[in-house]
Amino acid sequence: MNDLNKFFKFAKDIIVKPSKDTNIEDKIIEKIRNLSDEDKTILDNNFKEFLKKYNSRFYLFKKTLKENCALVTVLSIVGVGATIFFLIEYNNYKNYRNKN
Amino acid sequence: MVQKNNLEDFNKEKEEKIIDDKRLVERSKNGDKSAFEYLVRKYSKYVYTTAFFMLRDSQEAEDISQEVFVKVFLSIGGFRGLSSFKTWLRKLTVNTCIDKIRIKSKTADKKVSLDSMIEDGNDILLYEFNQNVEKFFQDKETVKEILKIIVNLDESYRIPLILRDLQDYSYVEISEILNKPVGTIKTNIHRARKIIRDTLDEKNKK
Repeated sequence: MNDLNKFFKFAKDIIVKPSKDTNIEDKIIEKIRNLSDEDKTILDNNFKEFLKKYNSRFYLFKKTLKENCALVTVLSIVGVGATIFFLIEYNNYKNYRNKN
Repeated sequence: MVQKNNLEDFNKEKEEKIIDDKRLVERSKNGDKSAFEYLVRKYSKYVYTTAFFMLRDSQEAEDISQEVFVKVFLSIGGFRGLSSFKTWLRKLTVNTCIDKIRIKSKTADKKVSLDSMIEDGNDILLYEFNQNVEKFFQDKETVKEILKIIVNLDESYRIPLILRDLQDYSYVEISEILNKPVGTIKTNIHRARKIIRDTLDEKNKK
């Protein structure tokens, strides 16, 4: 599997060059220079939804939490444990001071 | 020490690349068409390659590339830069490809050969790995073999595998995009990797 991962890593750097008759860059630039009103319909609801999502800090934060569910759970448990520990210690300290 | 310098150079280069993109995006937002054209020249092959492996069709990959850049051009004013431009572009390309696959699944049963795609005039370029020449060519062949297997995988295996292993999507993200449970996605990716490994092993035995 490690080997496969290594090759996947290399595969990410692969670029497929379009055929020689196709100059894709020029075609795209030409298209953008001559945009019609009809082309603007390309921004459909699906795309608007996508744009809204990836421009939302809240969505991206939620996504990070979802993707790191295990880490968040562990950190929460550690956090709650630490809080309980400090509360108990603080109470003990307070009782000790009151006694003296 | 040499390694440290290389790392510093790499980080500097990476930083410059990001800043450069940021600057180009800012200029494009302000209506500078030449800055946008520079972005097109910089990323059109990247978008084409992503679409090519997902759709397995040169013409469709070309159409998707045009569509993606038109979308970017029309909406760049709304790009807030919460992720890098390249990440945003990649997500947009994948999103557009998935929409296309949903609308017509004509690529689903198509048997494709990467060799024939290359014969069609496409060429596969592989950026040089940091290793010796002999190893580089060996690895290049293996990578090509792997891609040949991937393009012929069933769609339910191919798309999740590409998203996970070539596009770095998380399992959760893939499950949301494809509307399938995370468990199914994990199983399909596991099976796809197994098919690749088994096919490579068989070829090596011969």
